[in-house]
Amino acid sequence: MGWPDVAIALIQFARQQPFAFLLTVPLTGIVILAGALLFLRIVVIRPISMRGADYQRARRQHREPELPLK
Amino acid sequence: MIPWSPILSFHEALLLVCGAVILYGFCLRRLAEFAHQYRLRLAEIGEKYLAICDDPDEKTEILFYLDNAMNPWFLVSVSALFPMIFVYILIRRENRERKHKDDSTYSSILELFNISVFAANPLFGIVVVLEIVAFSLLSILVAGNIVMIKRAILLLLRREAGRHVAAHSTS
Repeated sequence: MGWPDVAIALIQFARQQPFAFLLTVPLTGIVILAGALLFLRIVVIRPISMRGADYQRARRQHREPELPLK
Repeated sequence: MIPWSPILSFHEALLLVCGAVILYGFCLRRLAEFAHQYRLRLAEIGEKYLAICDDPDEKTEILFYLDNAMNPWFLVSVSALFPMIFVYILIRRENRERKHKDDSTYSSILELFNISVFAANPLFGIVVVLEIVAFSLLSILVAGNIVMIKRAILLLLRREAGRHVAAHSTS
């Protein structure tokens, strides 16, 4: 089944049974996307942010202390 | 009756896209782990260099490198602006070398910044590398053609001058 056929079949399905379509296509799609995003956030984004915080800490650590204005 | 075949095809495509994004995320994480040591080194030598640097322009430049070392949007903007930057570099008249406080430290800061910024966005890093290769090849081709055209014009002019000289000497 090619992609144009899939699209036509889904449009027909949406016209005939809108509620069933809503439950099986967009809602399930949103659940899959949300799961993937959550997984990415925990496994990828958080460790990278921690590395970024380490980098900023290293910068502060090596920065020359500024003299206070008199 | 629910048409399961197109619904499952749609979900299959969605899962494939999510899988590709997760795979890219894992690559990004591995790259971030690899680049971490270089980023810490960049933070160290960059901040030390800032302390000894007198020139405000150079200071701004180093601060830019330090602030944008983990910025994934940097390479996106570079890839978008690269053709304009390339043309600017080709046509600008002044070509003076900038003096740095310490050339070796400056070049190592630049190297570490490049590694760090590539690890922040490898996808657009590859795009920028491909752009550099393509534009360099293009400029070599164009420059080569211009040199050939110049030689041809010079050859023509010399031949014409020779013909004139010959005509004058016989008359």
